[in-house]
Amino acid sequence: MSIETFPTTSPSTSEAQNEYDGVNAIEDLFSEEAFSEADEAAAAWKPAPEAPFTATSSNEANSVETNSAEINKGTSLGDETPARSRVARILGFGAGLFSKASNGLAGLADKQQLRADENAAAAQARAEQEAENARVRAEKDLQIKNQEDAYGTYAENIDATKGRERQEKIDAVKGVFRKFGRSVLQFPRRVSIAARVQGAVVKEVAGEVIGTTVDTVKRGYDAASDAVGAFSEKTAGYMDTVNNAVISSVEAGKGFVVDTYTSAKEKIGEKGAELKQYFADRKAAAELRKEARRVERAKAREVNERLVAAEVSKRLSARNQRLGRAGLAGIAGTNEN
Amino acid sequence: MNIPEITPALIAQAGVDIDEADVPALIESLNEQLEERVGEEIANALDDAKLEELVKLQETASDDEIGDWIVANVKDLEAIIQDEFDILMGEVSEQAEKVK
Repeated sequence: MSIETFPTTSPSTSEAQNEYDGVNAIEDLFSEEAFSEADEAAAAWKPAPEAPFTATSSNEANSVETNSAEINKGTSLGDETPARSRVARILGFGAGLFSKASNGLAGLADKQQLRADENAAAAQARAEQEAENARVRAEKDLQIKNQEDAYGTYAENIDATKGRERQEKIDAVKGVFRKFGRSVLQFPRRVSIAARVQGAVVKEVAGEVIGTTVDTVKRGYDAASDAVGAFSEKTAGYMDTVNNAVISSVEAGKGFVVDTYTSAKEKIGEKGAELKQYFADRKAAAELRKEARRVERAKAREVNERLVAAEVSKRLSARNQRLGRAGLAGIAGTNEN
Repeated sequence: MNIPEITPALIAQAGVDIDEADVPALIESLNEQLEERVGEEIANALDDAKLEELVKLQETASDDEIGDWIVANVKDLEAIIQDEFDILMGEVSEQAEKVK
């Protein structure tokens, strides 16, 4: 290094010390060529107190002049000497170079930063695009797989799945069977009141039947009593001869009562049996109609399921054809290549 | 639509002879059975699409709306109700002696 440094032992102001530090900084920062250039410039310089250093056409020279003049004015090192002036010029020249280099370095750093930012942004954009592409591919793959699975599962398990799915749906609405059953039936709470009224009517009807029976029985007893009374009055003198007749008449009366009671009881029993038969007949007819509806629905579902199965088969066949065509086209392309 | 009702008179005609105090509870139980059977038969009468529709509807609609939907969408609804009624009452008549 050919540059002269400011002596550390010399008395100095803070300004001078700064200059010294600046020289060292320049020495550290710039290349050998830069200092050589500075040396040459310094060597070419001639001290001329009466004719101050004049500017050259270069900016560096202007800078040297300005800085050296400033230094000469502001230092307390005494009168200007060649050595001092040289140092001052070197410092000025170095400062100019430093400024230029600093600007250049700053510009370079800015450009490098800008480039790094651009590269980072581009890399991020590429990564994002690749991630998006991967996501779209994965979605498509999944979609295709789901479609294939759905077709396959449906085609293979159509009967079992159909039955199970339907049962699941029925189970799902089972909780509301009662709810919508009630809403359909529109079963009013006031029915209990109406039912009590109807019940009373039925009891009256039943009472009439029973009453009729009782009346009949009563009439039988009355007839028997009458018969016995008449017999007593009319046969007082004929006890011996009519005893058997009295006995026979009483027996006849008793028989009439028994017969009448039995008849009424049988009538009630017949009515009950008729009602029982009535309910049984209606139940049997309802069960037949219900079964007929079930069979009709099963047939309709079977037909529908066959139609669906045929449609699925058709679609699977079409898909396989497409795949086959694509495969053949691929093979043909490979062979051509 | 003729809506059949299970009444004290009806169960008496079916041969059920129980204490008058027990009649309301029996009627309530029979009506619940009837409602459940009608509901199940309605579900059986619907195709998959309609059943799906009903499943969704029952989550949001009122009882009246569900009732209207069923009336509009269930084929032979009146026959279904009448037949379930007759079957239930037939069973009551068959078991009348056991109902105490």
